[in-house]
Amino acid sequence: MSELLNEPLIEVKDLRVEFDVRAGIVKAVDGLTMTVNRGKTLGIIGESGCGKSITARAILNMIPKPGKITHGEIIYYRRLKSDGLTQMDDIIDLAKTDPDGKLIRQVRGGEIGMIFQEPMSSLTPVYTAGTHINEAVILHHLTPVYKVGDQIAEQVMAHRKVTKAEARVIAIEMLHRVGIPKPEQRVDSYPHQLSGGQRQRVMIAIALSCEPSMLIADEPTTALDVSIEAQILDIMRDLQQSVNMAIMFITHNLGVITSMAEEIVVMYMGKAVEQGKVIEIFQNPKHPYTQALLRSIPKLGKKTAGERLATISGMVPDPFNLPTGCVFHPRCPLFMSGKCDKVVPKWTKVGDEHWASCLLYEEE
Amino acid sequence: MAAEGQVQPAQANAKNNNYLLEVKGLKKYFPIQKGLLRRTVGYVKAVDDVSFFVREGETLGLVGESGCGKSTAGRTIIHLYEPTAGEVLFNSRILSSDGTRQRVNLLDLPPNQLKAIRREISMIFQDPINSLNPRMTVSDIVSEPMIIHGFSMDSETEAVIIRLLERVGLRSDHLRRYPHEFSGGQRQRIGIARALSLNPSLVICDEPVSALDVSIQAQTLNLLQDLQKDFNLSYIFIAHDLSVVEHISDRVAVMYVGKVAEIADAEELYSSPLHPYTEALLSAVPKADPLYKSDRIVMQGEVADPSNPPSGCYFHPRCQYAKDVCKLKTPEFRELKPGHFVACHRAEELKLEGI
Repeated sequence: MSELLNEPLIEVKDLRVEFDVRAGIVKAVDGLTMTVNRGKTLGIIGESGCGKSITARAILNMIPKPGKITHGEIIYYRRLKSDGLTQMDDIIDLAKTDPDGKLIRQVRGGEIGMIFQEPMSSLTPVYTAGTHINEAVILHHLTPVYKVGDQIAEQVMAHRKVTKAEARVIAIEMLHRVGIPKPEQRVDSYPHQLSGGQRQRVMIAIALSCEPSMLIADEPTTALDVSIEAQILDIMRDLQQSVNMAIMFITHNLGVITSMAEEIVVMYMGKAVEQGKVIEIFQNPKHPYTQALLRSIPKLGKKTAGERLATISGMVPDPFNLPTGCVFHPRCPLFMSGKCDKVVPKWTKVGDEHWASCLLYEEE
Repeated sequence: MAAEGQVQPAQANAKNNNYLLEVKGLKKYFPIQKGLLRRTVGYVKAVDDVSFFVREGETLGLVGESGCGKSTAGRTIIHLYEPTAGEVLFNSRILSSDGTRQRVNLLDLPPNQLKAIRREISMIFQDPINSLNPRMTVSDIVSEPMIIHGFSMDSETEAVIIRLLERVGLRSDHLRRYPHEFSGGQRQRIGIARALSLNPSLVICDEPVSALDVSIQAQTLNLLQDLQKDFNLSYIFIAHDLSVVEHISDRVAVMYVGKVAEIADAEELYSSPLHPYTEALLSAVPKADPLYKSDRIVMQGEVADPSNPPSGCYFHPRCQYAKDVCKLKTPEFRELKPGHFVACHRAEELKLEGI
C-alpha cells in the first residue's frame, strides 16, 4: 500500500443533513466537503452542536430520525479483502445506500468501525425504536447482558467466517492487543465489572476486530482521565500503524487532536470553516473562528499572572434563525460591515494544502 | 462561645498567615456494608489525612484523576459529608462580634452556627443542568439561599438579585425564566449568581467548567476571575483539567487516592514538580502545540482502589522511580522548599521534569 501518496478512502462532497422538527428545519451539516485518506488520521474539531458527530453518523448512514441526508455524496473507495490475494475495488456512494440494506451493514463495523464517547450509554437514546435497530450497532454497543468476550466474538462471526471457538481466540487476542491485563479472564467479564478505561479498550477491540479500513472515533477519550487517555491514544496509534487504518478523530479537545491527527477540519455551525495540516492550523490559523478558538484555551506551562483568556463574544446562533452571509459574522472580531453579513464565503485556498472559508481571503 | 478560650492563639496565628481556611488531617471514610445485618466490612478512604490552607483572596486548585477524593474533600469541608476525623478551621466574619474575623472549627460548631456560617462558604457545581431545579425560575433559584438565611423577598432583595445577574452577564428580563431556556454557559452563570447571593468569602468550585465548550469555558473562567477581584473571594477550584487549573490557581494541590501528593505555587508545581505522580500527570496531558515533543511518561495501570489501596506509598505500583522503601512505608507529607509540600520518599534525590 502506498504510504507517501494520499489515496482517498472517503470523499464527502457538499453534504447536507437536515432535521425537520416541529419548530423548523435544522441544518446540522450544511455543505461539508472533505476527504479522509487511506491510513491517515483526519481530525475534526468544533464546539458542541457544530455537526461533527452527525457527519460521522452520515458516513455510516446512521442519521437519527428525523434527520435526513438531503444533498451531497459520500464516496467510499471500497477495497474488499476477499481471501487476501484478489483485490476487488468498488466505489460506493454511502449516502445513497439503503440504511437497513445489506451493503451498509457490511460496511458498518466490518469496513468502517466506530467508537463512541461513553461505551455504556452512548447509543441507546438514539436507537431505541424496535424495528430500526441494526445489527452492527448492537454489536458495537456493549449490552450488559452479554459477556465482553461474546460481544467481540459475535462481531467477528458476523463479518468473518469463523467458528465460535476461533472467534473466542480472536477476542482474547484483541483484548490482549488493546492492553487489557489477563485477557483470558477478562473475556468473560460483564461491562459493569470493567473500569471506564477498560470499557473503552473493549470498544476499540470490538471496532478493530474486523480490521476496518477506517475507524471513526467520536470523542473516544473525553470521559477518561488523562493517564488513561494517554494509554488509549497510544493504543490507537499503534494499531493504526499495524493495520494501515484511516482514523476520523472527532473531538473538542485541541490538545488531543494535535497528538493524533495529520490534518484538521474545523467546523462551525455545520460548515467546515478551515482545513489544513495540524502545524499550519496551529501556527498559522487563517479563519477568525479558528484563531479565537486557539486563543481561548489555557496553555499548559505558560502562566502569566492574572492574565485573562481571549473569548469568543456572544453565543452559538439559534439554529432556526441563522445569521445571513457568513454564519460566524455576529461573533467575528474582524467583521466587515456590508460584506460578511451579505455574502456567503466560498472555500478558498489560503496556503499549501490549507483552505478556509472567509471573505478576508477571497479576491474581489 | 464555648470554644473561645481555644480560639485565641489560633486567631493570632491566622493574622500572620492570612489563612482564611485551614484544613488539618481531614479524613472521610465511607463504610462498605455487606450482608443481611449490613455489617461494615471495610472502608473506602475517599479522603485520607488531607491538610492544606487557603489564603484570603487566593485560588487553591485541587487536581487529580477521577476517584481521587477531590470532590469529597470539597464537600467534607463545607460539612455536606460528616467527616471521620480532622479539623476545618475557618476565619468567620459572621460569628465574630467585633467585626474582625474569628477562627472556628467548622466540624464542631453547633447546627445553628454551622447554618449561619454557610453564608460565608458557598459552592458551584459541575453540572449546570442537574444542579438547577427545573421547576424554579431564575429569580427563585438565586434568591433561595437569601430566603433560607432570613432575607425577605422584597423589592430591595430583588434589586440585589438583578444586580447580581447583571454582574454575571445575564439580563434582568431573565429573572422569570426557567433553567431549560438557557444554554449551558448561561446556566453555569445562574449557578454562580446563586453561589454569590449571600456574599460569601470562600467559594468551592467543583469542576465548574468541565461541562462547557471551549469558548464558553473561557468566558466563565474570566468571569470567575473578575468576581474574585470585585468581591475579594477565595476559591477552592476542583478540576481535572491541568491547564485550566494552572490558569486560574495561585497554588495547586495534587491529590492521589485520597491523599495530597504535592502542594506548591502553581508556577513552581508545573515547572519543577517534586512528586513523580505530578510529573507523570503533567506529561500525560495532550499539548495543544504540534511542535511540542516530549518523552511522554505513560503511567501503567489505573488509579488504585481506595477501598483496597496498595501498601506504602499508594502511587508505587505505577511509579517509575519506586524503590523498596516505597512499598513498605507511607511517605510523610513534608515541606521540602518554602511553600512546597510533597509526600514522596525520594523527593530530594529525584530530578523531575515539569513543563
